[in-house]
Amino acid sequence: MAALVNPVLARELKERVRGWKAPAIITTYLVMLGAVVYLVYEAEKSGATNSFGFSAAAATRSSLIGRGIFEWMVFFMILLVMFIVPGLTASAVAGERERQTLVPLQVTLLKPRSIILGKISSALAFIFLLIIAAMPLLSVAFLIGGITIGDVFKAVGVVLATAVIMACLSMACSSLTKRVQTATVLSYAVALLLIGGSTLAYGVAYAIDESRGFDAANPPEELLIGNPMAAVADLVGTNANRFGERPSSPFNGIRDWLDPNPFANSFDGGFNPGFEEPARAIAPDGRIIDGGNFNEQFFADEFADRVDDGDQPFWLKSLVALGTLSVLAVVISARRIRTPGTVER
Amino acid sequence: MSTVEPHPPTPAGQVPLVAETPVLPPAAAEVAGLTKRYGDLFAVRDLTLRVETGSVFGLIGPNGAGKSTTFSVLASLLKPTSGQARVLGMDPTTDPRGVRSRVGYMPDVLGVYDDLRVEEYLEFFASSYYLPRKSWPGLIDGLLELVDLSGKRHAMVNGLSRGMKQRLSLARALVHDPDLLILDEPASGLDPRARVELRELIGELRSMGKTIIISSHILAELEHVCTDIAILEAGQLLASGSPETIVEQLGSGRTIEVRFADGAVERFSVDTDDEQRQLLRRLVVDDARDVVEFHQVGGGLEDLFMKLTEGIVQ
Ligand SMILES: Nc1ncnc2c1ncn2[C@@H]1O[C@H](COP(=O)(O)OP(=O)(O)O)[C@@H](O)[C@H]1O
Ligand SMILES: [Mg+2]
Repeated sequence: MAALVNPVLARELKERVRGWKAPAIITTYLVMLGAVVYLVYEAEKSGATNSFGFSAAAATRSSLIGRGIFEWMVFFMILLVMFIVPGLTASAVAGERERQTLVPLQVTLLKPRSIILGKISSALAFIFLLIIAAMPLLSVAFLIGGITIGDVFKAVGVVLATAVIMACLSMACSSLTKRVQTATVLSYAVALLLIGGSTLAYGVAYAIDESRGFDAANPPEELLIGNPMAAVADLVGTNANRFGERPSSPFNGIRDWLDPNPFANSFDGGFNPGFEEPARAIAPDGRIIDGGNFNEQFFADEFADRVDDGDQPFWLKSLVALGTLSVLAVVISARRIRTPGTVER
Repeated sequence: MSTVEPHPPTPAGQVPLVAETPVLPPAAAEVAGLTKRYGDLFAVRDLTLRVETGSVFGLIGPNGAGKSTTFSVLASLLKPTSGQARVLGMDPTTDPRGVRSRVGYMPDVLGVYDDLRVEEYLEFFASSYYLPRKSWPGLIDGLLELVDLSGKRHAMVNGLSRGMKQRLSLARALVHDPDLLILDEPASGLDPRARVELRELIGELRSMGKTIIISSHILAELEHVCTDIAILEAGQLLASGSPETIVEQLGSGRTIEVRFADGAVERFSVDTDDEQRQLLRRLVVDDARDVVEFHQVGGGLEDLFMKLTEGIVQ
């Protein structure tokens, strides 16, 4: 009965609602996301184009705008989560060491793993609050069109998964250091390495391949496997619809690395620049739909997933890799605060 | 021999109703040949101690003597390099949870959570010992009364004075009603008044039947509190026993400093009041010297301590 709620979680939540940090973070976060929605909307409503440089058909424009807002929002949510989570978690163990509260905790009957998981959950509870707080903004994208409820669930899942992974990795950084500052810097270094480092590595490999000849294959996607942003790009980003239209999205770049032909789904397979915008479209079930009757739901569904190459999807492989790393991080963290040890810590 | 049943651990402080066979009651804590090394440094070296159930055991030594290291081993935080420790019959290295469930430990540093109230602070630790939620209110009432913080129940922890934090810390160590209390320099940083209160509190805890192990680098702090004392220096045991035994063991107890009219100052060593009287008579009556000042330098255990630790530090 007494153990229904992890004691560490309960205490941290209590402390968090009292601190000045939580409201400050929520406010900043919402202001930034609001700005993203506004800016993307302004940019997209005039500029949505298809792969031929034509302005998108009127019927598809709103879904392009909706989709653009959605993908930019997911991008920034991930970015903010990667920035906020280390701030919440890096102080977890190092902060207790600094305040000299770790030892009293270690002599209680709490298991090291409960302490670590309690602290991770407390960070996640806060991230969950941030996601809920962003729902009204996400619904703007949803109302404009271009995304489905499934997309929204995907986005929430992706942001939460990123938060879990970052929380676990930051926790390891925290348990390995004595000072909060060191732990925070280390956590950001890890985040930067995962996103920036792997992107840079892939970019360099890509450039080398290109210089060898135009028909060289892309570098192996495994280079990006530790990059949460690449996984999100794979899961949330889109290929072009059948008109060769694609929302401007921060994920397009990485996604094109993972999928060399993002226009495979458009009528011209992405290879025929002379192709004209069709007056009618063919729905997946074979129905022929006149241009004038385009319905948004149809187009919303129409942004294609990447071509299935028979392999496990990249995002899944990435999730497994990062998940394994996270479990390892939790195990290391718990071990670091396990007592008796050979040095008091 | 064969009729003696394995001795069940006596719940601390419960006076047996029937006189027991004269079997030595199990020690509340014991270390044997305890050694803890950090590289070349011996924090504790071949230490052997026995803390009797129901006693107030003082571990005394200057900073760096190895008191906290010894306590960390007993509190199941630190593995010794070699040697054994037993706490309430359990080995803190192999059965840390068993030890933790019956030992209250108060470290030498005071850590508190910033944004918690006194009540919530204790509730947190009650939940960390998995005490049933129903029992919390009564438990916390009792603890706050014991440490005289009842009026601060809803105060923020970080707003308390040092003495109050110290008492709260003690209440925290008592949350699971431990049989053995390990208090690492609880009096450090307290004003004289708070020290007196702490001493009373320790007496009260003892009367509740708890065994108490307490440390200090100031002998006078513990002199009147402890039933047993061990003196530690550079990781090694220098003396142990009741305060009186130690004095007996070592014979001479006091140094008398005498200043004469001609400005000369001499020091004499005496063991008892009798010897001290004789010294005075010899100087004034027999030798007919002009004594201006005749006084004891240090005294009692303090003097002993000076003697015990002379020339060993550094
Ligand atoms: N983690 C550690 N690493 C290296 N030396 C240590 C460590 N902890 C304690 N020591 C050393 O061990 C000795 C005993 O320390 P301690 O037990 O804290 O003494 P006391 O509590 O009596 O002041 C000191 O010299 C101290 O510097
Ligand atoms: Mg100490």
